[in-house]
Amino acid sequence: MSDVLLSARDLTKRFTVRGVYGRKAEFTAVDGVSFDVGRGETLAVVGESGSGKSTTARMVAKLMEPSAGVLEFEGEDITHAGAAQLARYRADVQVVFQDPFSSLNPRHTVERILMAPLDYQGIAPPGDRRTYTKELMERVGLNPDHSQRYPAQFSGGQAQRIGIARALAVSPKLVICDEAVSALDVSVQAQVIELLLRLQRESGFSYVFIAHDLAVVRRIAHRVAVMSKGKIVEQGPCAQVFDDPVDPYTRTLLAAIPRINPEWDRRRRAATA
Amino acid sequence: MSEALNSELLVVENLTVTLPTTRGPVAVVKDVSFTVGRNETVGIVGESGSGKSMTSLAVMGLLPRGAVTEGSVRLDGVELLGRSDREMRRIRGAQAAMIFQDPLSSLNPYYTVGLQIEEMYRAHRGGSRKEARKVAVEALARVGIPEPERRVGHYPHQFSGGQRQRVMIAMALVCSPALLIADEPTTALDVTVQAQILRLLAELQQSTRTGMVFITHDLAVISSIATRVLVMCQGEQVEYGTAEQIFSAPQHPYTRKLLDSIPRITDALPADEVTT
Amino acid sequence: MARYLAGRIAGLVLILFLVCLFTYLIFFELSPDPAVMICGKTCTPERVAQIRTVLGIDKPFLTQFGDFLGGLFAGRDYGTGANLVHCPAPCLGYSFQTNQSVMQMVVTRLPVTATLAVGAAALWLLAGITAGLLSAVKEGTWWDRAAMNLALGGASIPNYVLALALQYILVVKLQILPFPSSVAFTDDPWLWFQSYLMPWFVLATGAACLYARLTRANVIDTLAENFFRTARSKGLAPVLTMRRHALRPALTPIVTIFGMDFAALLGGALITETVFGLNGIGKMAADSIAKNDQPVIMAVTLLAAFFVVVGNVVVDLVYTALDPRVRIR
Repeated sequence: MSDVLLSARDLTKRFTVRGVYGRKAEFTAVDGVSFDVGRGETLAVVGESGSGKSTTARMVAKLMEPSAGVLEFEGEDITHAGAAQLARYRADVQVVFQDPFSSLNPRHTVERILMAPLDYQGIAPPGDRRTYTKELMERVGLNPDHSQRYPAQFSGGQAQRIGIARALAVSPKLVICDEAVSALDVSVQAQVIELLLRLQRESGFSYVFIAHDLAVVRRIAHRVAVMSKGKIVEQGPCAQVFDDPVDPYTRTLLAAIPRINPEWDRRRRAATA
Repeated sequence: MSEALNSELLVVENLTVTLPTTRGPVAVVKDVSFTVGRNETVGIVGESGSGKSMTSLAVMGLLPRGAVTEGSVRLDGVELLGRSDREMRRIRGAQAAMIFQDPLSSLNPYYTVGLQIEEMYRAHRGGSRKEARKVAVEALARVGIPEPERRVGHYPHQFSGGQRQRVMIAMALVCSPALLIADEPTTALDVTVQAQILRLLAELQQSTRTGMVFITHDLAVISSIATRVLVMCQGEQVEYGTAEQIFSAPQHPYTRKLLDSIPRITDALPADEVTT
Repeated sequence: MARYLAGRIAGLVLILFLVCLFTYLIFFELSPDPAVMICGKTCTPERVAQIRTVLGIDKPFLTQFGDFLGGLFAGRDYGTGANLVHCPAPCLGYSFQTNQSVMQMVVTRLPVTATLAVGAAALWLLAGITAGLLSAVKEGTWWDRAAMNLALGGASIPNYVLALALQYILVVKLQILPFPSSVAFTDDPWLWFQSYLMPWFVLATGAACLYARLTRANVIDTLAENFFRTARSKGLAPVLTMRRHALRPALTPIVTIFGMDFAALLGGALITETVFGLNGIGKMAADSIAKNDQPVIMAVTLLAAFFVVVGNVVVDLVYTALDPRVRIR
């Protein structure tokens, strides 16, 4: 994990809010955030609404310019990347969004959706389009015979798999998951989490995993950064942050998580084992 | 039989709800039965499309137009199914109240929270505006809104998410209903706020001796608040029992699968994948 | 608030200035020489030059435009010596056709247009909102379908077709109504009312149909809102539920559209006024354009722009007052 893929230094994002009658106010959504993501590593960024985790994700995905700070990818400063540099970055970094349906064009077939990142980059798919589409669909556990279907013909979980397959099409080095499993039902969520873990084992890319659900984060992440009011209040290996939290906010957050009565849970597990 | 169940507040027997669709009638709730005792919380748990919300709307008589109900829903021994809207209006709010998932969109943005609480009180209890205002201030104080005298004149958007849900709770309880139906009341809230709202609901339920139906997709939340649990899947009643039974010895494969799927804060990556 | 208003008013003045400038420029560059038209067939070049001097159109463009603006704010003088005429502020000049003060023309004609606008607006609001509301509540029934198809048809009929058809049927054939005349309310209230009946109806039809569809869509959306479900779960009386939790939220956005439509109408209803022979701003505009009467054209253009721009600001202020989410942050 010594090899750092992405490094953020003092990332800051300020917004100017225009109030009623044109009064202006400045609002700092992300305030001097620093973190590293190693190759093949999953860094989870957790926080409650308004913590700045999604703004951080958007800056890392280069969907938003930081107001201050530096973003480095493979040792290269990409904070103010030009068009060519940005195109290369987009081939290496992909995003999976929360709502699969609104992030997939409803009028395009799965094949067209999955090939879009390649077309945008001007990269030829390995083999022909049809074969590569089917290969990608198989990797994410979708029936490859459905490559000519439209997003609406899939369930929520399957649609999210399409979103994941699209991210994989360009063989990225980093995948940013912005609340990628939050909208899914628990049984589907569990399957998609397993899929994300398997894909990382197979391909060795990194994840920046944005989530508000700490239990999901624990299952998927190597390291975790806890955000509150635009700042990272604590970061470190999952085991350390979850089992031995230092920051008071982290403690409150962990204490607030609803848990199944551990005694009942233990008895059930004992019975099924 | 109805004599024997007299101690029960809400008795739902073989409830079936059929909705008209373009492809013909579809049963969204199939043969569901459960009871809620006075001062008891029963959880209904299920994933999206399980029919858990439709069940609650059937109890309140708020089903969409054209919905057909079968079976029986008795509140305090009085049959609710098949009643006219006029009769149900007297029950809604006064004997059975409801809170919803998204408190911001569940409150009317054009009116102050005070007015929205007052109109409910006056609809059932009558009285002057002044009296109703007093009741509204007390209701806000009871759910832990600071400075209730000032806040009563504020609009929903001026409250935080958790406070809005507190306002909804204050409103629901203003006529001291015997039954409170909470439909995913904490799903849209942050986890720390969720914990506060769950604590508030539990406290109020104890102090007011209200029977509660708590609907959620979150098994962990149910485990912390319900004494009995009904598990639903695609409109069917999968399993029904005490919380302890459901969580420690689930009988149905679906319940087991559901319990296996929930990520737990103690479930880490397998050791070989964690580099420490 | 004060700063906001000041900013809005400054913007308003700028827009009106630009409207003036462009209208003036278009007529300065493109229209035939008004002096030649006034002078008639038996005309000498000396006479034309004299008229041009009197009209003040012999000067370069910027001077003329400056004179126009000056007249607007400070008043101006026309002609020289014994022929000198002073035009007090706000001076819009004199009609090339009738020599009347344009300001005077506006003052006498605006009440006609205003009467037309107010009556039509009342009619279309009442009819449109009622029909839309009924359709929304009875969504999917034969009433809803019939009303909405009728509304679609009504919105598609051109005003002049409707005006001529009504006039033919009601005035010529059935003789139920007298031919419309610009009679004053104080002279003969009944005739006044009868005269305006058809113009009101014609002007209101298109808008009423549009508002019916708009109201229906807004109310249906509101009935699906979570807060409407909350209101129902509270056991409120149906009238209260509808008024507070359906109508108020559904109709507030319509205020915006109504303000703009009404403002535009105050600028004159060209076709309706012309067909019914009502001497309002719209007819004044039609006549002035037909006869290339530049000062009058300037006046009607400026007036229309004024109403639209002011209407815009008023709508914003009213909307702010109506929606607490905008008013209080």
